Amino acid sequence: MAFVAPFDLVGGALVVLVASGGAGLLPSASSRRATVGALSLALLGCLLLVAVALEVLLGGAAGTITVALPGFQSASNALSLAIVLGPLQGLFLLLLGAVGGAITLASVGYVPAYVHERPATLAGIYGLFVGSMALLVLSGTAFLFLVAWEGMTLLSYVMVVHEHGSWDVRRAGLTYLVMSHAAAAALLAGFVVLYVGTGSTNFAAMSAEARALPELTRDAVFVAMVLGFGTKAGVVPLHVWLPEAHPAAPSNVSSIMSGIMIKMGVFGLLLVVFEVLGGGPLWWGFVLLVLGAASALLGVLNAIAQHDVKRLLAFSSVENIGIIFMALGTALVFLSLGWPALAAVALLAAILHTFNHAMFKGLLFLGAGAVVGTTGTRDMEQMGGLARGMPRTAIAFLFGAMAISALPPLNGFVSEWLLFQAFFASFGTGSLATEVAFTAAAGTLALASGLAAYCFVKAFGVIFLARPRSEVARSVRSDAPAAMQGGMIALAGACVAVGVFPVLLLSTFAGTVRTITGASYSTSPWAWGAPLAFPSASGAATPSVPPHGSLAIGVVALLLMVVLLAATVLRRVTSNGSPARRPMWDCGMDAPTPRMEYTASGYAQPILRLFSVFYGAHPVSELGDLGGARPGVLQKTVRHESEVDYPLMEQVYSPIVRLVRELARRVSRLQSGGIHAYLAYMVLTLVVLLVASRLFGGVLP
Amino acid sequence: MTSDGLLLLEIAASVVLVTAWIALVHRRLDAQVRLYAIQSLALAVISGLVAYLYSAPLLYLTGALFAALNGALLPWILLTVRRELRIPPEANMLVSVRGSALAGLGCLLLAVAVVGPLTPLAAVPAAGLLPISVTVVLVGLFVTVSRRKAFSQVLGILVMENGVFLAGLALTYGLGLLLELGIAANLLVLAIVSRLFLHRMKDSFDSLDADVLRSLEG
Repeated sequence: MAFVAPFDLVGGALVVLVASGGAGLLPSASSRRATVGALSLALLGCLLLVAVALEVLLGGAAGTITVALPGFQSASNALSLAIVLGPLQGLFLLLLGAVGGAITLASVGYVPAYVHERPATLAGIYGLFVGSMALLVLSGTAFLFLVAWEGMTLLSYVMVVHEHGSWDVRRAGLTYLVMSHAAAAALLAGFVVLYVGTGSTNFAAMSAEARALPELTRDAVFVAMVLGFGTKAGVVPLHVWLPEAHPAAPSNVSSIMSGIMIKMGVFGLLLVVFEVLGGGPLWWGFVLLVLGAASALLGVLNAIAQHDVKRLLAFSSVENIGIIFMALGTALVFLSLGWPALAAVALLAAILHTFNHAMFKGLLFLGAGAVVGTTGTRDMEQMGGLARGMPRTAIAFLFGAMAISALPPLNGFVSEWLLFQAFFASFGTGSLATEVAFTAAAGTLALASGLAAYCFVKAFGVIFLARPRSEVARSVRSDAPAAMQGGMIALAGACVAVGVFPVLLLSTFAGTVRTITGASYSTSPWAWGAPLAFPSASGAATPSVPPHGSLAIGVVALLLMVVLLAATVLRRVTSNGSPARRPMWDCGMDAPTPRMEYTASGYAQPILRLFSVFYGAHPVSELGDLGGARPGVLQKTVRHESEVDYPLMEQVYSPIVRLVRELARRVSRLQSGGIHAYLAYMVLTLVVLLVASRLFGGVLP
Repeated sequence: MTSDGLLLLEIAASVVLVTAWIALVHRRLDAQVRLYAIQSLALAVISGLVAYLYSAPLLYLTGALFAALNGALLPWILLTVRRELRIPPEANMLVSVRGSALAGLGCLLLAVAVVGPLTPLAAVPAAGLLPISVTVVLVGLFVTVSRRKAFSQVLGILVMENGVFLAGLALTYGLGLLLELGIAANLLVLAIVSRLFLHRMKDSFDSLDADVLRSLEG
């Protein structure tokens, strides 16, 4: 079936991506040619990754192929290397190749047009970054995984601080680097515990042993993994780097970081917690569920409060990662209760939302990049009316905004709908605790989705609609570069396609879902209106998947489109003549100015007041009274001021920072600077070691 | 004959131990350098004895080299440096003579306690030599810690080096000529570098008290 062996393709893709790095980083006569060359190679690499993914997912490169690299053969060697292609790997290669490919295509337009400092360097590092993520997904051993993980982190750090002239950017980069290293330390600890317990770093060998490990060991691994992968994914309260790093990076980098890199945290959890550890006790699931719910709610509330468009999108990523974590937690809960069919529904929701978020958040960051690049500001209060100057960007952004607000028939709706199905399915399971928990979860998800819609009405409206609020916004005449439009349109098209024909994408998840839950479902791509069926998952205690858990929205959407089309045609036919153009009604004032428009802050006011608990500071309003006989009736000016900070962050991170400072101060006393002190430390250490070797000589190896 | 050889070996080893101990408690720098020279010569004798007793002819060469370098050249460099830089002849001790003597005893006890159980593993000549070599290393380390002058610290490191050489003799009948040559070259570089370093220190701080390095603290 496969024309080229999948591993040849994998090798080819990695070589091409490394070549992309070389093209960008090696000295070159023409910076522009080097930039475009490097990004084109990266695009080719992405396409090869898609080919690999399709061979694995559809072509049935069945099972897992392990290649032990020469020199590292021994299975017991902790430093062994292996590359693995399985269903889960195929899925994330598809995500990286397809969505990453669209973002890379857009980068071909973005980088030469908007990045003024060292564009070729950025392009080269970008290619290597894509390569490091591919290697991460393909790792068959913990050692290779950690190496690729660090590579991914460091390369993304370099891209975040690309415009390092500004202090904010350097500070954001430092936050990102510190958090990432703490996360990597947690992962290293987790993998070391797994290695000691199972005697192997090979994931396949580990997963055979890991299920029999003592409960406490498994719990420790789980906690370490949640800390490590949760930080990369950006789940509350480990998300603090995310709203700093995303705005600081060039926009195509924010796009691929938010769209794909943070999903590597999800990949890690699926790989280690689900595939290697094989799920765990009930509380694991609830930990993920609670973290996810907190992220979803706090993420979207913070997003609403922002007037920096890229910060807004970054906080919205926190929200969506929260939704994915809620779905993962739900799957874990159902697994531990022994209901694989329900776990499969939640897992489908998690993976689908991972894909969906990559598509629409990648798209939105690209749109924001075009807007920020053109206007030169990230402040939404300086924008407005950009739909006139940049119509294609506006349309693409609108699709992204609708998809992220979970409006049918777009893709965001499908994954959230599936997750609601999983929540509601817990009724009838007879367990009061889960019923209560999932009712609360459903409420949280509903609230978060509604607020997300509110947030993106604000984003789209303030940026693209109404009249320009500033001189720069008024002077915008040209749309984004063609390649960038191409990338955005491709992503917007994907949002629609997955929204209307979700089963096309869902069918590729079958292998992963079967590996993890043991449940399988019918995914004939042609029966896209058919409900999901779980023929093999009928255990005695398994509640059936409710009959309304169907994905018939393809049919509904098509019907809706037909109706809309018919209505439009009917209107055209029945209306006589062309529409008349009249001046806008201005409420009796003459000549409305941009000052009369809703501002971004003004639009956010109701939510800020309603949820002021979560924002820390209460918004201040000042009414400038015109005076006169009855004060308070006629107001000359109204001023709103709301400073948003994170009370939660203050409480969580300040003690940690203080503790570290205090410890550092104490440790610094050891650093007396006197050479005798350092020599004395050496002597003391030596004496202690000698005595210890004498006392415990028989115990130590 | 062999027993005579072993007796000589033990005597030479005691000389190494005793010189280390006296160097530890001695106040005068020149005397310490001379003690170091005697110790090195004793080690050269041990090297020759081991070569004779265990028919390892290369060790004769090692011993000769050791006598020339550690027994003559290095002490000469050190004495010259002391005179050139006009370093006061008294060692500036952080630990009193009595304390140092006790510490030397402690080093011996620790070495015997730690290494004692290991000696049955190795064949003669290790039995007596290994604890002595560890003691000499520890004493050298203690000298570097307990003396204020940078000069004494160089001396302490050289004494440690002698201990390592003895351990090498005890365990492997010599570290092998090549390795020994490497170590000798190293020591020579150390001597030259420390000489330069002492010159610079004298120029920069107008003192050879290692405590002035504290002012470099950030």
